[in-house]
Amino acid sequence: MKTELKTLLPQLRRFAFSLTGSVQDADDLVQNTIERLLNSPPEPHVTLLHWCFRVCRNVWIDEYRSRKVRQAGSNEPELQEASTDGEATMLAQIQLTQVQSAISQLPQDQQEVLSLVAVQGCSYAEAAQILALPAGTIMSRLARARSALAQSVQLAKGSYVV
Amino acid sequence: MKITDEMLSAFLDSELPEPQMQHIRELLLQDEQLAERLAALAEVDLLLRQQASLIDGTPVPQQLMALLDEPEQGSVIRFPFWRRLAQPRQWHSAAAACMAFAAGYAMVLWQQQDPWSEISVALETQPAGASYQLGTDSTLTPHLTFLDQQGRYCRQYQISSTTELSQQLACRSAEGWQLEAMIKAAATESPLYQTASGTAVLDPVIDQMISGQVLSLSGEQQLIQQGWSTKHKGE
Repeated sequence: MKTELKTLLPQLRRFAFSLTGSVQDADDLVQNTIERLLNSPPEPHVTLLHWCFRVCRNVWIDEYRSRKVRQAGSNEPELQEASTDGEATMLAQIQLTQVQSAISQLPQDQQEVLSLVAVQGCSYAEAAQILALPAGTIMSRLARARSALAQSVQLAKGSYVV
Repeated sequence: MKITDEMLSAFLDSELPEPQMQHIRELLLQDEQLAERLAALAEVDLLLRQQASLIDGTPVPQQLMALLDEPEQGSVIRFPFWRRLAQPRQWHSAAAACMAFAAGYAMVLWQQQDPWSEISVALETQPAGASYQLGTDSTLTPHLTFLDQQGRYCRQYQISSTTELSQQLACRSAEGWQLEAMIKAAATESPLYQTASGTAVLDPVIDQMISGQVLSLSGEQQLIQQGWSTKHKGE
């Protein structure tokens, strides 16, 4: 189980990071997720990765309800330092910061669908299984989330491409 | 038909029925606004993935790695030293006791004598997916076959009984079939049992050993008919 979890760790960290927007919160979330995973066996017929996502999402919701998750970009000096070369990189960094800011404005149910489908590449059926929702709900939440983010990105472009 | 963001979003994910996918493809050729809208939605995905990948460049906290580095009951055990024990008649209770000690859990599989000879027969003769009765209450089912980097044929298989489930990997050399790795658990609701119930549980071991691809069913069938002779391979 731990061997398998190690191989899934990069995907799980990405998933957690896309939910929390903060490296520190993501690693805290992954730590709590792994502790819970080691104590709660996967359900039959659910792949371990999907079970990880489901548990991670549940832990995140628990934490989300109990405290305000730290916001990303501006609170992540280690990430900002990584990309300071040239105007294009700076614009990309601004755009990523805008994206993270826009993600944090989304309702939690839209964030988790985005993380599963757009970031992790899950099919609607897989996301529906992980979140225990109808596929139609996945489709509509995803579209609303993408529309909202597309609008934010366009607005952000308008503010720095002059 | 008005193309909504919901349809474009599902189009991006190839989740629409094919006639609708085709309809939108055709519209995109003519309708620039629609194409721009699709590009805007696709850009969101690109940015999301870029954003999420930022964490890849940060180190995994030691505390987190420590959690995964702790030894656990039932982790996959590789058995290079099993080669010493692999001769069928050397499988006796003392060896089993040593293995159980090393594994940290009870070794109660098949009480009858010389189980390995039965396993060898099953591995030698059964194609993937075919169940083979071992003794009175155990069943062996091969899952896949591959050639390892030492040029040996290896098979991953499951052995199940009413009390235990085990995923195992054995390779064939001149001395016969030898166990390389296994994970097993008592048939309870424990996490270990759940882990052992997954046929992919030995995949990390297989990934390290495999040379080329997993054999096709027909390739496997041919090997069985040829008695696992390797001289037909590329010679």
